[in-house]
Amino acid sequence: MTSAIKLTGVRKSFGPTEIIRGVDLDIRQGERHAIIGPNGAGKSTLFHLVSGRYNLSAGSVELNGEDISNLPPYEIYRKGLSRSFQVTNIFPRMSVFENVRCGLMWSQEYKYSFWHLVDREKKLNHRTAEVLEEIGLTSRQHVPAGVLTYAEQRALEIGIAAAGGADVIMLDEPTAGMSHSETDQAIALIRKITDGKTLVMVEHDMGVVFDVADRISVLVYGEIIATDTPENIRNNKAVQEAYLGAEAEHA
Amino acid sequence: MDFAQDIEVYSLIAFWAFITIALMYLFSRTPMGRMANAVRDNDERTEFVGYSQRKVRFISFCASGFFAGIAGGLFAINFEIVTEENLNALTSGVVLLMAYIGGVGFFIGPIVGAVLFTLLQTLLSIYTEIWQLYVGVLFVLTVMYVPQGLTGILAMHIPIYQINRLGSLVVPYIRTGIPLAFCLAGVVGFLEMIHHVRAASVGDTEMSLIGIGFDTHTVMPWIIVAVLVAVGGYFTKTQLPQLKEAWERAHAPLGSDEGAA
Ligand SMILES: Nc1ncnc2c1ncn2[C@@H]1O[C@H](COP(=O)(O)OP(=O)(O)O)[C@@H](O)[C@H]1O
Ligand SMILES: [Mg+2]
Repeated sequence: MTSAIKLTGVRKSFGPTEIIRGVDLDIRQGERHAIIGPNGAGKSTLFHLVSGRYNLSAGSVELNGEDISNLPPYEIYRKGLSRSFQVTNIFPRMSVFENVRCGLMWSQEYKYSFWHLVDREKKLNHRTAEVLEEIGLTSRQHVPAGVLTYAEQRALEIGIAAAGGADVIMLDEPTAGMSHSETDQAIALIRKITDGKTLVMVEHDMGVVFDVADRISVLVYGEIIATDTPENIRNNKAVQEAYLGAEAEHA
Repeated sequence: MDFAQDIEVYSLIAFWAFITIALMYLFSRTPMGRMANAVRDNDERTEFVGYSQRKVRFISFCASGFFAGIAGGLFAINFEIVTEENLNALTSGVVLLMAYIGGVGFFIGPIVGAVLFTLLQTLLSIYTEIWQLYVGVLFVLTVMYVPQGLTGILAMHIPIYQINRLGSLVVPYIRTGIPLAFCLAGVVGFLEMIHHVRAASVGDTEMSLIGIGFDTHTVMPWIIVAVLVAVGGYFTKTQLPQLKEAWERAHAPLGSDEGAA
């Protein structure tokens, strides 16, 4: 089986500082893969490299066996990879409904059409309503996205990313800054919305990680020091020293 | 050009104006138009839902060129002459000014702005030579205090209207409006007098405002405008808290306010 995402020798420097220092990673189709690591390890940078926001300094990225290195984000999206952002990245002045609809339009083949009137496209609006239902924002669909609460914006962030039905979904710290109950809701939502798809997520909450992930990769200082099942990661000495141990001391 | 022809030209222009307004509105409701909005709102994110922001901008630019082209054609038919003046930075600036005064975030904003600007231009210029100053000040005040434009101010009243509370604002508006009108009258009188003193020929000290003739080299008119500004300004200020309170009350959630008020 080809991998969903395959990184080979990926490097990224900003000026003289190398932030990603040679990453090889193989994410299988259909798996739920978590990436953990201390703050500043380069997790978000890695997401930006895969999704086309940054260009690679070296190495290559494949999506479902196809080379996508240095393609612009919209090309990568069209090939079936969609992502959310750690810092909420929505359309603040547009309504919640329109936010989700924007996430759907390309996948529904509208492209840059100016022959359709969006309000009259039944299927498009029906699907938008379904996604709103899934992310629990139906009652808020008419308000500008910018006035939603933080947790609601995070749900919308996930909704926009998942709306188009991409088969590889990357979520960057979807539960950051949420309360316990909000986190539980978000995780249920993520499970539902990524069912049958490949999920890659950066997550700080170890409870969530060990609960959701099939496999975990540990990124420390721009390098992946281990990729394994949750059990093996928990018992991995190097990981404990580099990360989980430090986290435990911290707590 | 005779009158019959004028009517024909007017009908032609009005017809095309309505057609293009309708087309522009429809354009804004297409997938392309929605994505143009999305790019304005958050250009980066559009790339992560499949759209190239550069292409969206390019198509938007072409569409605006299309409509500007129609407007230019109609302009030429109306005035029968097109010169450098119709294309220079000043003219382009005036169009932007209209859009901002009207409100750039609303579909009808630029239309409102253009109508208002043209009215001010034709009406004010009959009465005063410094009408451009007033329009300029209106523009600066709009940008500073109501970036949503005049349409935005109107739009802010829609939710209040919908819950039938518009009536509660009438009295506060009148109470603030009267002293404000006196204050503005003073400011206008002051500006007009300064302009007269500076622009009139030597020895010509007579001027008239709203039909009252007076001598700008005597003290009395200056005292009157100063008093208007000071007293009007003072009473406007004393009325602002009640206006603010009325505004907040009109916005309070239904059912929670009546008792508190
Ligand atoms: N655009 C950039 N320019 C320079 N340095 C950056 C840039 N983006 C990220 N970095 C640096 O890269 C490091 C990793 O950042 P990031 O990928 O956000 O970490 P993580 O998501 O793992 O917390 C940080 O030290 C950060 O300062
Ligand atoms: Mg990060």
